[in-house]
Amino acid sequence: MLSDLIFRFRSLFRRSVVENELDDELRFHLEQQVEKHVRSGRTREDAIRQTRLEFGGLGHVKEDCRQSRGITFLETTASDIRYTLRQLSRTPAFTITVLLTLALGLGANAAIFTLVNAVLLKKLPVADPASLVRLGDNNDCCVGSGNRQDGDFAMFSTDTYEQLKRNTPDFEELAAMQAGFWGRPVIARRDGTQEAARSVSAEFVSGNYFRTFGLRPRAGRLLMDADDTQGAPMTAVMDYEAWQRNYAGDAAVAGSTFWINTKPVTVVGIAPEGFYGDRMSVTPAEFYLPIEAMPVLANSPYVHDPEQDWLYIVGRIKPGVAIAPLQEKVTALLQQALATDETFSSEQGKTVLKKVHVVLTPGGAGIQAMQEWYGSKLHLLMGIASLVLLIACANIANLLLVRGMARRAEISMRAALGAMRGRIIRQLLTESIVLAGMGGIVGLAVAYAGARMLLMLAFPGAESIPIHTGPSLTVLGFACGLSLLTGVLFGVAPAWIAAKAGPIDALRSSTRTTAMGSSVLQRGLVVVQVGLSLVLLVVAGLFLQSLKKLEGTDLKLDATNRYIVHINPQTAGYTQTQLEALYRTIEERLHALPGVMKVGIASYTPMEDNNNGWGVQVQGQPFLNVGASVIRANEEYFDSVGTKVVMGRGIDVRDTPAATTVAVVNQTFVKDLFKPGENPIGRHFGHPGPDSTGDFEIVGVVEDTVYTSVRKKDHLMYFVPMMQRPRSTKQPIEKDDSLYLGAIVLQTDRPMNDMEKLARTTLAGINPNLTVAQFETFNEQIADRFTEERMISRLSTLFGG
Amino acid sequence: MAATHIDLPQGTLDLLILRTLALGRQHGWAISERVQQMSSDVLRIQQGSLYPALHRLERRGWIKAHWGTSENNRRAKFYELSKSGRQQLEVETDAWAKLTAAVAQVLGTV
Repeated sequence: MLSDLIFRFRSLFRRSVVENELDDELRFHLEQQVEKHVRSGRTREDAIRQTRLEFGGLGHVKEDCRQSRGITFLETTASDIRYTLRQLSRTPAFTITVLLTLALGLGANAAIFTLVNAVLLKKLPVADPASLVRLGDNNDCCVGSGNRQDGDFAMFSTDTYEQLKRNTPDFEELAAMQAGFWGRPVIARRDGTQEAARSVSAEFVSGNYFRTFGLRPRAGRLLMDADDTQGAPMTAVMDYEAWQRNYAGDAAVAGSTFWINTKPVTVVGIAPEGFYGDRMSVTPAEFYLPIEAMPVLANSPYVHDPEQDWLYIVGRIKPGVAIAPLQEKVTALLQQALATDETFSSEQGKTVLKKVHVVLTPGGAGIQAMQEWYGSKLHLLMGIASLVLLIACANIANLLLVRGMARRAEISMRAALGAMRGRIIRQLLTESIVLAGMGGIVGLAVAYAGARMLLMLAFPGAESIPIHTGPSLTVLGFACGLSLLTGVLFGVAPAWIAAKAGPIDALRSSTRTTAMGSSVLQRGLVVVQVGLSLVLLVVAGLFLQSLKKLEGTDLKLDATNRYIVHINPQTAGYTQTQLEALYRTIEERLHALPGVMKVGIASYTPMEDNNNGWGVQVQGQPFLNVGASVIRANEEYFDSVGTKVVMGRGIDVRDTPAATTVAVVNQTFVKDLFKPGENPIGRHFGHPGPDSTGDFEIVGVVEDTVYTSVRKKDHLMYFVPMMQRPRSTKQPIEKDDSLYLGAIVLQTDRPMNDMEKLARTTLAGINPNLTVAQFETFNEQIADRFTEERMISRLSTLFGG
Repeated sequence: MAATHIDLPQGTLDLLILRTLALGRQHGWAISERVQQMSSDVLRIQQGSLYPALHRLERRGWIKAHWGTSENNRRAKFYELSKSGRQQLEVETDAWAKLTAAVAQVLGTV
């Protein structure tokens, strides 16, 4: 066996030696034979002729010898490849065109497949993801009460979670996790160090969270049920990435104390490497904290409110448990748990309760909010990419076809000289496969660069997104498969056409072949190619136009020399009663900075991904089932963002907590809730209900500044003074989370590059725990909202052109 | 003259080569001459077909090749039987005897 191998390899690598030996051997034979005939009295010429006859075709014999040596396949392929490379280098324009086309087509597809693979197909790195089940099939977020129209539940209260857990032995474990942790960072600082407090993501989870996922700690221990009980010492588990990034994997972190939202918490362990939480997120949690620590740490009133839904639930089912009956059981349990809620105890509520249900979905990929969010985008990109590949294939098929036609004469010549048809087709196939292979390699390089670029475009500013664009076998296979398929497909057509022609026919018409030019197939390919390119360009044009239109929209705001600082007074440890003093101090200190003209403070700002809405009813009108977004704001807020007051007044110094509760509404609010010409000033409105419709007196109307998204038009809004609370509210001030305002808008008289540093030091001067969660210029914040459109239009222009 | 020649049955060329080499090492031309002689010029071997057969046998390890000098002082490739080639010769000779006997028997009974 070994000798056989050595023999074959000798043939392959010492090809010239072996060939020479074969020549020598056969020459010796022929000379001996000639001499024999000469000895028997023939003339030399006659002897040579006779010898040739006896021996047979020398070329054939040699080929047979090569075949006998068992090297043919390898050797033929090698010689085909050598021949191919020679041919290709002889026509560099053709080669480069094909390679670039392929590289683009394959690269685009592989890049997008890398992303799809990473985002849509990825399973959580946990034990046996297949047996994980999520309760719910939508990604409602983040804290809410009441009911969706269709009664489809995915978010639950702590109370409901505990009831479900107690009554479902079908689950080995049932874990709960905070639905909207990404919008609610904590501030954290390691005890006994000089490090500044940082605003980081943290997720509140049930004590059995890590057990449900079947994880082992990287260091220390993970959370246990005992950690998640009221009054237990406060504990946390740190994310592996965060541990590496911030503490360089310092083993002493496990067991050390951290100040989280100004309270001491013991980090008991480090989560395993690779675990990025229960969902893909641009801001993965750095700390996992027990649910029961939340009221203390985050001052969140909803944790033990049975009417407030804020948890997602993922469970691990026991082997053999059927999903359908379990789903019915969970639905029944949920209805039972909700029956006591105020929302569902009225007559109307009872009919709504019948529609309440839970859909169980596979939980192996975790909470798929990001997948849902980016899914349509990725599918669109996949569509674009496959169009690109189609164009590329049509292009290449055409090029190969033209080349095949042009080479008909050559091929006929080879056939006439005795080359077998199979051998010719093989040669042409080799040519396209080599081309495809080279294209695949170049394409792969394009893909990795491209995937990284796409990732940057898709998730701007993401620090530690758990998506790796590194090579994966799947992606490699995908690219190679695609390139080979393309090669074989379009190698076959010209090869078949060329080999079909009889040598004589082809030779006869060889002078005309080039003049004959395009066949129907070829013309068809050109049409397809141009058509597809056109489609892409049109798509690109449409996206570009809609982007232009969106960007050109009058947002009714002014972003010049404006900076937006996000803070979180709640995590900095302020109670509601301390807030007014804090806001006044912030205004005062920031105003003291040279160059600062206006200091606006508000719950959130235009064009940021945030919204808070409630139903509203105008006093004296029936409830029209209308909702409006609400923002708490200080006196300078409208000026700071450039919103103009068109009627009445804005918020001013008169609007103290003790004064009449007032509101400023936007134009859409007036248009939708009042008759044309009706004066809204002086009218009252509030939450629906007889007690609350008189809560706010309208004192002014402002322009429709765009919030949330350019696409969200005709959006009712009202603005209330930052510390005023509706008269009818029964909620004590200590529980009113809406008083925590997260955004500061600074308007300066000139561009100030050092604004971020100034803002940070000024705020830290007020309280070291008052960290800046995010700092952006107003323009940056606005541009962020156009990323998607910009990316797609850029890509389709690139590919179509 | 051509009428007395018969074509070689499939697979018998290998047997003839092995048998020829059982007498000692030979180069290709001598083998072809020898086969011709031994078969009293009845068997017709296309001389060219000898070489693929030699290379095939060499690959199987039944014969070994060395470069040497011929009677007329020329460089030539000599073949000789290997150990496994000798065994193979026995096996094939046996098989051939059985085959011809069987065929003869069938022909005789009819």
